[in-house]
Amino acid sequence: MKSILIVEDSPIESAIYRKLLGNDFHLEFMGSAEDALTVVDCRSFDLLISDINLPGMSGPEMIAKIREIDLLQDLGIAVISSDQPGIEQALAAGASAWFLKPINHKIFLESIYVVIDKVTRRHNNR
Amino acid sequence: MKFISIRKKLILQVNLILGLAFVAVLLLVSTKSVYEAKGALERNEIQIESALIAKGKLLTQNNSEALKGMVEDNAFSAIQALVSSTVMADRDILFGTFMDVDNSPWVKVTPDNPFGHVKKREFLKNHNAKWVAALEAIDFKFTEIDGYQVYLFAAPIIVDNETLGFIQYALSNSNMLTSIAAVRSESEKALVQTISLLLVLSLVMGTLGFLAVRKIAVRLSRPLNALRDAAESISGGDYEANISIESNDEIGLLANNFDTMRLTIQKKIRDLVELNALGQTLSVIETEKDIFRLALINSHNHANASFSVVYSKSDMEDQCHQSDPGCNDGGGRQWEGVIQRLMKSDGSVIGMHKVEVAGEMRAIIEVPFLAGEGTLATMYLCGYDSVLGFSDSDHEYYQSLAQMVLVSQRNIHLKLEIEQYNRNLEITIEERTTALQEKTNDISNMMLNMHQGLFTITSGGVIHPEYAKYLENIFEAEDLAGSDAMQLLFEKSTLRDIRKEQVQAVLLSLIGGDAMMFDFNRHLLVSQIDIDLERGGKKSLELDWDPIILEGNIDKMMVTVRDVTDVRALEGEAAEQKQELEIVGQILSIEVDRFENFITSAFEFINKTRTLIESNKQRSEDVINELFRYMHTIKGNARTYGFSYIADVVHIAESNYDNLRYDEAIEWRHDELFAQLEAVRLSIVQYVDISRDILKRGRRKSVRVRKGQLLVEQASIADIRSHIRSAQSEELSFGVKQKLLKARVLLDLLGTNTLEEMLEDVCLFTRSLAKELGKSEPKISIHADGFVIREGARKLFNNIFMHSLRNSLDHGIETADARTEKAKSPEGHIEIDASISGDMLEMRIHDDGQGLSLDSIKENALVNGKIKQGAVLSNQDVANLVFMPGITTTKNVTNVSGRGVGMDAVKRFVEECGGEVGINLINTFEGKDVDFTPFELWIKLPESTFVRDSIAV
Repeated sequence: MKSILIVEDSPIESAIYRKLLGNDFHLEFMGSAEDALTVVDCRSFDLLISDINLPGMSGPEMIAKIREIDLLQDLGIAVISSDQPGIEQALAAGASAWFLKPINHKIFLESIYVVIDKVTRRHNNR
Repeated sequence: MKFISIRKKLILQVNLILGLAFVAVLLLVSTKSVYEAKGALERNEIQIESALIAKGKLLTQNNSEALKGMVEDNAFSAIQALVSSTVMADRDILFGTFMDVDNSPWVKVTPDNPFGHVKKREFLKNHNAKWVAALEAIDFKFTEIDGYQVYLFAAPIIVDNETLGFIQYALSNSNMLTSIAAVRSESEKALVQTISLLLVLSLVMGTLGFLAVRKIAVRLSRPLNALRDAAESISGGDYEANISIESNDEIGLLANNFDTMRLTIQKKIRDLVELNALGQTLSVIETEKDIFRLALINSHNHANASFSVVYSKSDMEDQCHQSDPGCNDGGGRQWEGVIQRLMKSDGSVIGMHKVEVAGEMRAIIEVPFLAGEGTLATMYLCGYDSVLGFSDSDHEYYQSLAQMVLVSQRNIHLKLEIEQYNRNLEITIEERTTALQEKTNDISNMMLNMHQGLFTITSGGVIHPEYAKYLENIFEAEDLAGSDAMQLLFEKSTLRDIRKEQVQAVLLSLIGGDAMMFDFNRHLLVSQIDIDLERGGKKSLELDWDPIILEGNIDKMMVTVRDVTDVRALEGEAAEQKQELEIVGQILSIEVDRFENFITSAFEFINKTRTLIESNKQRSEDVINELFRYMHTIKGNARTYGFSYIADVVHIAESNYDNLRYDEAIEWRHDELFAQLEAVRLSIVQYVDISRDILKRGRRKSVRVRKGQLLVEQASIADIRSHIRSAQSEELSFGVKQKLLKARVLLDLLGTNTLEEMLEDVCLFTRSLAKELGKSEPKISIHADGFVIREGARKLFNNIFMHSLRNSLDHGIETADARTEKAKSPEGHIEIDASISGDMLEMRIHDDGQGLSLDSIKENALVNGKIKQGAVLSNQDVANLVFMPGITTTKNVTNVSGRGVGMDAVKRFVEECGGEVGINLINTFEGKDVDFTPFELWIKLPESTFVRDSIAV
């Protein structure tokens, strides 16, 4: 089973993700960018899902830092944003996919599969 | 490096060597001479010295001998005379002394005292005297006496072994020295003379040598300089200057080689110039033939040939050229024979061949033009051996020439190809342009005429200039190209700001991004908006969003805007219509009397409720309970009779009362309560209105039971039936069973009606409908056999027939006038056939109207999006489309129908109770009225709806 690191500070949202994805993926939750950065390179994840607004370091800043790490260049990163500037920043920092809030619960699981699949294919084509 | 000419070098170096040699010799000679002279002198000195010594010795010896006798005799005067005479006889002798053994001199001759008189007796004590006195034999030494350097000879005079005295003579070397000095000076003079002579000689020789060397140097270096000058002029670009240096040494050879080189370079340059000129001319030549011709003439002149020819292997014709005019006459032939001989060997190398013809040596230069692996052509330059020019460098000349020719020829071919290619290209482009033009026109037309607002949004949220004109109609705006899409769509819309922001955010982020995000976020794109028009009024618009994907990214977003205002309105009306029909159905399924009873009692309850509310200013549990009970009863009754709309509204009131009962916080407010009550009342009024207006029922006072009739509860009948059934399962005689069966059938038949009876109300309804539609009242013929319809199916039958008869009347059957024109009876004919088929009841409904317009159905279905553009459908498929909601063939929507709800409702009713429905198209091959296809509607119903008429066991 593939594993996903979810960086989200709201417990409600985290519960939603657990409900939508918990059956299909092994999930790990971190409440801040700083915490996420400590685990992201010592354990291997198939995908990172992150909110844009986080306490402390913002989502895009975290993504930029992650992309600096050699081994994590290919890590798929999906962001959940509440506005367009957040999406722009995330893409500029190196995000692979974005969802604008509110997300469509019915298709979210499927969408995550698509993202992981695409990232894996791109990685294999290199 | 500083330049020093060879000449100078030669002169300097040789002279230096000579000089050094001379100097060396000189030094050698002089040194030797000096050395030798010195030696000689020394020897001389020694000789003189020894002579002197010998003399002294001899003298002294002799004297000593002589003196012996004298001394014995003491012949003092004789001794004196001897000694003094001895001294005086020889200049060299300076001192002479005879000394006795006591060292007292008897005679002492000195230069001052030539006779040697001794005045008084003295005793010599000096060292010399001592030395002498010590002698035992003759001896001498060099010493000093009275300031004179002398050789002192002394001998003891020994008589009878007794020393009687000593004789001494001191000889001065001054004469000796003088003569030595004389000799020395002589020899020195001679030496000086020799050396000076040598010097002069060497000077002279040196000068002569210098001059000689110079002359030689000049002579040697002159050709060298000439060579240098020549080289300089060549390096300066002047190849004309001839180098003529006659010299029978290496320099001469070098000069010759240099000149050869000059000539070669000169030729090469000339060749290059020739080739250049040729190249330039070739570049403007247009035909292949001319290329070879030019090359031929050029080569002919270059080689100084008499006759030249080019034989071509391709289809280009051979050419020839001759120095003397005309090569097609006999002149050329003499050469061709020679060439033929040569051609036998397949040469592919440039070279000159010599052939003897008629005693003359002829020469032919062969130049093949090679292209790839084969020979394109071969050129032969012919002439007399002595005349034809071919040097080593000509190999390269002809090679370059051949290359140029080939390149030019290839260029010409290429040019022709390119021209052809261009022509083809132009044709293709024209074709493509025309096709494109057509396509563009088609698309432009589409964009101008389509009834949808299609446009695309490019990056930045801007509307692309190519959009459907209809968009302007929809938004009542013009010149939308380049304007902001969000503004167009949402400015006048009733959408909330937060929603607008969402759509904007999604749209701007999607365009230009990965296509994957579209599916993830498309739910945020709004699919339906209402806009407010400037002149008042609203429009309902449906939006479809489709990404235009280029290389995995969304390049633009295509938006389709549909004006569904009318459709919505229609849908709204249809919904209303549907509701009305449902209500009609509900009403019809109940006996009139029961309906009237229900209405009456409902109004009674409502009045009671109103009174209660009015008379109570505040909440009271009892009052609320009573209110609740009233509503509950009404609701119950409504539910019983299936009056769903009434039941729903009443349910709301009832729930409110329930809440009021249990939640103390809710206020007892008259206005609210009255409002709720009014809603209930209106819902009932709705039914009453429909009953009165559509079903045209009057109000009957009460249910009248006719004489000989009984009102029986259905439950009772069911009860009796079940008893009979259980009785049937007992062991009974055949006769009894028969009777029981008959009883049951009779019971079954209770509460059933014939189809005709069932359709009475509907037929009534049809009559009024026909009037409304301005059509003649239709004739309805019912053929039913072998069955009766259960009471419970009344509602179903009413619904089915109401819709289908209405359809027939409205769409199928034409107006009286139209029918008369078609030679039909003015009133329409509706036939209903029903019979048992298998274990189902099969009914067919057919009217003699115009039939179905399949095209209209299809078009309607397209517009409504029920089928896709270009879908392939058979006639039957199209006919079946009428069962889909929203499909209608009428262009006008009336009060009565056209809302597209009829057949869809029928289908639902039928299928809900387990039946089937369909349309059979009746093909007519008469050919007339092909726009309309006659048909019949068939319906199959299950056993639950009917009872067989005959007793089939």
